Amino acid sequence: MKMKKIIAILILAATFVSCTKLEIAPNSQLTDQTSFKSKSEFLNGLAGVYTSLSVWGGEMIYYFGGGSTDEMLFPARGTDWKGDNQLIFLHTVTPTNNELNNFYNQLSNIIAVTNTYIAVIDASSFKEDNDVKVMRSEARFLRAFAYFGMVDYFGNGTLVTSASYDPSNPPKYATRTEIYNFVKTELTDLATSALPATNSYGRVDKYAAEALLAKLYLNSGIYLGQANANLPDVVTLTSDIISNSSYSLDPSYHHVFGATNGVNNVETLFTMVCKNKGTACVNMSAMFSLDDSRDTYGPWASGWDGAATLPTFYRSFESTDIRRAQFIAGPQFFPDGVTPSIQTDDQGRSRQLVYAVDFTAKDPVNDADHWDGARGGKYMMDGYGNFGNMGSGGMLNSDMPILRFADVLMMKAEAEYRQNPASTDALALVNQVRLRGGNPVAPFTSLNDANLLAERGREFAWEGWRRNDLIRFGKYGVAWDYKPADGADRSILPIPATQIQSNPNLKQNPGY
Amino acid sequence: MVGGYSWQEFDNYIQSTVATGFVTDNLGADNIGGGVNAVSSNNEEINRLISFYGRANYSYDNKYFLTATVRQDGSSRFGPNNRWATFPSAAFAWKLKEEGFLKDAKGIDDLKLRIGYGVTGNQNIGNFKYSSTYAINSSAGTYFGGTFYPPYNITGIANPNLKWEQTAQFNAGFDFAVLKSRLRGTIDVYSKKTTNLLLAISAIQPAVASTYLENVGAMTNNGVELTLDAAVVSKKDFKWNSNFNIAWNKNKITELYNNKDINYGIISGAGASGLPQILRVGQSLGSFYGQVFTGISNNAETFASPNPSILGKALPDYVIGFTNNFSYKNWDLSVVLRSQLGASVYNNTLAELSNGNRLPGQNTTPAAAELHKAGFTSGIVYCSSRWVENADFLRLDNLSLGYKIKVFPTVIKSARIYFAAQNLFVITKYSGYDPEVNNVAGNYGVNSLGIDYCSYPHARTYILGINVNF
Repeated sequence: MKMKKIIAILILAATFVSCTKLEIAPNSQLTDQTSFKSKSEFLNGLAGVYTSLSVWGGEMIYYFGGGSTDEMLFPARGTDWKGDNQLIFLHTVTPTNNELNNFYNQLSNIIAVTNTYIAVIDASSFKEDNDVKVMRSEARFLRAFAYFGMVDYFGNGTLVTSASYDPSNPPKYATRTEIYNFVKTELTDLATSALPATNSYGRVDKYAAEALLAKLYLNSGIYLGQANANLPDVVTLTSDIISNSSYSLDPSYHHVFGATNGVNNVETLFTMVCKNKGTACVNMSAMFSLDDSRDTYGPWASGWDGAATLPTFYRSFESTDIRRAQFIAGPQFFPDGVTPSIQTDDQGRSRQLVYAVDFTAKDPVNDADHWDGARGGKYMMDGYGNFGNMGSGGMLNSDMPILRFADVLMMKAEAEYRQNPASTDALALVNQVRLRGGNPVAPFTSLNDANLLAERGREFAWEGWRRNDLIRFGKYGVAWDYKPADGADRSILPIPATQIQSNPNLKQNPGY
Repeated sequence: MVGGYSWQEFDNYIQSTVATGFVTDNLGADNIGGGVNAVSSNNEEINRLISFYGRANYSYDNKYFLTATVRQDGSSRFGPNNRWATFPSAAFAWKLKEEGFLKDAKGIDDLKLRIGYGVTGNQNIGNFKYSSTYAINSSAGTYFGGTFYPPYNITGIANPNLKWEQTAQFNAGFDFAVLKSRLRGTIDVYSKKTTNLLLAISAIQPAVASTYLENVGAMTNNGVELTLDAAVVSKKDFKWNSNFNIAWNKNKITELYNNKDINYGIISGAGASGLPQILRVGQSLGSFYGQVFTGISNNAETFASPNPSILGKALPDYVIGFTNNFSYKNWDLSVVLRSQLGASVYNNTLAELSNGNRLPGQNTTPAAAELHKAGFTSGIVYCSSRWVENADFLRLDNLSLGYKIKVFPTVIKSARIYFAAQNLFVITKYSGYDPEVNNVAGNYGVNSLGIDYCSYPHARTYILGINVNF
């Protein structure tokens, strides 16, 4: 009897305690308490950090990096795509633009995610583990890359290296020079000691840090608003990569972008790993560009009919240049090359699909024909078959390079050329890239600004660097096909209005 | 006196399997294993709501009535520091008619005074919004050296202080009946103050998310409601009952996070951009915000100023209803009128169809086609007063006419043939289909109000029917 009473009281007490319990852990997600308990989890954390690179495959190539230049136009085709892309192309983006804010958020997201990951490592018992230390350095590299993007696109901003979020104490304003110096210091340390000489494909090593630092130095005149004093540094860094790393120029330009470029890739130092199944970063280049090209490229090659290249840019390739195959132009056929691909045009007629190099519409920017413009086929030069298998739609299987060995050679050449326009070494380096794999074009006999910029255009078309190149060569504000010259200097984007509203410490860039 | 305890747990479990490449469609979804590339996923979220409550009723002499309640609610959805909140309420009623000085008063058939005060809470947000978690999604990872790694993706910005949104309401009113109870009515005045509003705000970058939930401010709703019921005519053969109600409400935002505006709302349409609504201290919820349009000159829209300003609000000042029921012998007639005054609507449909660059190729309004012919071929400014219209209306909500018939009285107790029409007319200056719109489009955690984009209008319905009771 007494026992029963005690049990009853115990049950009541237990019920009362559990009856006020509101602490519920998420069933399907990890918390700070349940994550990073074993070493292997840090690789999953690192995977989460690398997936924030997806901004490269979207905003940085197709919107602000390429879509604001002479290599790419995202026209409005009827009402399709009507909106931000045309403003970006015409350099008329204003601070309230939604796409601009997305871009700023995505770059900032890399910074926040890497800061958090670094803080998790610093608080962990695995922080002295050598493998984990390398992962921490990789996160620092990605953070430096995001800040490089901030310097390059937005100029000033904030400089945050802590993971804590405190809305009552918003980050202080940092000038372009301050952020530049941070990126320089970080990359120098990463290139000198913090990153290993080799790493798994898909992860960065010290040579990636050297290449990004070379890129920063090559543009330092622009970023610091003075004559470039770092050209010798560019030569030193790129020479180290050329002499001491295992990276080299892939003899096949096609292979660098092919469906199997994730295997035996000797050229890419820093890549965005994309698979047509399972990766957060996706290669949308076909999706963003193609109309219905299923007859030619397979059942998933029906895209959103967006980006096209401009006629002058397309014609900068000699017809013999094997790299011209990265654009899909003219009448389209089945893989046999004979049977025409018949589609319905804007007038409702059935006829052979033709991607017209010269836009046929009266207003190519704001009301282009659905077949206007040569399309991006950089990752489809192998023809039929680089498309996603079932369940992944039109995503391509190729990884998208961010920094590759050809750029290392071209950066070295440009740094030498800028110090000595008659440099024979610079000429030889440019020809090495230009003539790769026996490309049947004539070698250059001398270098000048125009042929160097054009060669970079051909080699790195639609890889996200064109805006950076045009600004460095002073050509970003000039008129080109379908775009008038800019009155004001648009080479720095406006700080999005939403960001200034959230953080009043930010300052708007001049002219906006 | 009553006391109670409630414990509620909501367990939301989702399991999904997607597969393609089936050999046959005949088995439908009942043999998913027969497809290839099957991908399974599931998610479980639990939230809990626990309440202790008590209520006390007291009445004295059938004249004074007092009700008091208090409840303590705990929700797992809030931050560990603020899960519990106490919500008291008290109501007092005084039957004045029962007092000696009114008991025999002629002309006053009933009179009752009511006063009440209460606080309620809102926890209508998602789960775990106070925390930062890691989601693992094996369809969005990456490869290192050819080996696949599912990622730990940080989700959300932690906000351990997230707490209950609370609304405190004070109301006072009279119920009365006069003229031998042929005129009855109620008058209520209320004042509501909502504090700790739960809104998503833009995160200060860099942050792992672009927005997060915060208790950002306060707003008030003050109003008066009047209802009158009258038996206008009450003869044996002819009856006329009339009901009139009018409600006036004024909403005002009194506090926001750092007192900063929140721009929100969604504009639809090709190339449309901008946020047409604003939350601003001193203004009503659902205020429209944009440039003041002054006309079109030289084929371009002109504005009073490049700076945007408040252009109106989506909430009405007055909501009015007027119902009349007539019966004459076997006939009956009912007419329900309803009106709203003081609200505006953003006519997104008109804006899109007025875009000068839709022609040639796409439909526009005839007016826009005329403007296009004259040379207005450019796009339009979406956030502008050009598209904000007065949405006052008077609607005949319901009209019904019936006739009672007597057939087979041994079997059928009563039968009535009737004709009813709903939404027979709307008197409004609004140029769209229907001034009463409710396109809910969420943005920045705030639902937009009064944005009309191809909303389906209220249908006009005619019904001819027979009611039969056996």
